[in-house]
Amino acid sequence: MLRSLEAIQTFPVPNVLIVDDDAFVRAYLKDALADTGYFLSEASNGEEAVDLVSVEKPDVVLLDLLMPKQSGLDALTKIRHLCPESRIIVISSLDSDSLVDQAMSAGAKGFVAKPFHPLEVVGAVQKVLQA
Amino acid sequence: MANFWICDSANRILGPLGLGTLRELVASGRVRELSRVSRDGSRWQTLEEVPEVANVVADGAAEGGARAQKFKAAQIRSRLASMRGRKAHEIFGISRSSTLDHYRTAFFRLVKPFHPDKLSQDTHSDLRAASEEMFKFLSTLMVEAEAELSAPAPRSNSESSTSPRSKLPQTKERLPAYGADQFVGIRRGPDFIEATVRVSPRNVGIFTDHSMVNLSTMGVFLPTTHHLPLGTLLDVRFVFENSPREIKARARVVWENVGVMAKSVSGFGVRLLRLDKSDQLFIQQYVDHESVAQLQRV
Repeated sequence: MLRSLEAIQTFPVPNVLIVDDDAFVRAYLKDALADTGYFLSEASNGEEAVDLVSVEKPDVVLLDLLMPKQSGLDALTKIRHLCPESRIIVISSLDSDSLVDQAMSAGAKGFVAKPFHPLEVVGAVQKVLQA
Repeated sequence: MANFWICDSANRILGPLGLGTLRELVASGRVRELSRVSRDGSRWQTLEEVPEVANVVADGAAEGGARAQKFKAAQIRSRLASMRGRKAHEIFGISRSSTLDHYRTAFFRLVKPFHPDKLSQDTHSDLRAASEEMFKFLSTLMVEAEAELSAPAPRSNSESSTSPRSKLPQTKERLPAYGADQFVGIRRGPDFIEATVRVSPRNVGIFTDHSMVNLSTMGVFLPTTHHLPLGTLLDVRFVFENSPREIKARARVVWENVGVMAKSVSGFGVRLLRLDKSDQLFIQQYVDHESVAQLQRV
């Protein structure tokens, strides 16, 4: 679901951008966050995510790493450049130590390994919002 | 450190990555089916065009395969440890009062994944050894269960068979009418093993008597004191008494008498890998003919 720039500026609750090429994962994440009251939007690849971030300035970005068109790591760097205040949480099955370190060094604020429990994601989002 | 972007068969991109990270991801199975590589994230080449990446992917895949097989071997051994000391019916998941046929059905269902034929040539030695341990354990269990079940009323569960052999009077202890090495000769060469079997009315039971290796499973029991490990490939030559027919077949050792039954004949069971329909039919007819002949004599 996309919203207008005006709505973003006036809407009081945090907005969360979900970025994953897998529609099932996007739906699962939306379900997990449905009760939080956050405003949710989604993108299916890195390029689309970067375009949306420049318009929406999301408070939190849930970012997959392995995606078509643009790698999640590349998208992470660009999002950090476009919107430094966005907190990025990487959600990926590629949870090798070196890749987690790489993502955190590139500016991610959290890493949730797939498969995940919905409460893990809710907790991770709440944590970065409170930080 | 050089960085690369990789692309899988679903056109999903990951990068930039160092070769160490890539190897780790491939070895753990988290990244697979890579098709393209890029040094800058925009210009793509096939995996083969970037040898340093292709080598890392191949090494990682090999390491991952070996790791997975070792893990599976450990799982088999752990399962085996939990089975030791338990009753056959508990392990087979059937009631204690089940018939011999039920025991056999449950046994075959359980033992199948560990059969040497189910393992590919490049199976890791650890997984092969663990599978053999499990196969031997379950086979021993089945032999013991069979001995226990058939002791009070020999062969009671196979009396309903309609084959001529099943109508023959059963001996009290089901002792075979043949012994080890009486009619099986083993010849070994530098790159071959050949078993010559002289089939006669007295030993035709080698095709039918054994519960696990018999004609219905394309198997035959070879009574011999020679030991051949499970999985051994050999040539078997059958020479038939009262017939000019000679049958040759490639075979694999699939069962060993591990000496749990004092009354059983030592030897090993083989599965015939390539047997012509006409040869199979001939053996069946030979067995039936000799069984009928025995029936008429008693």
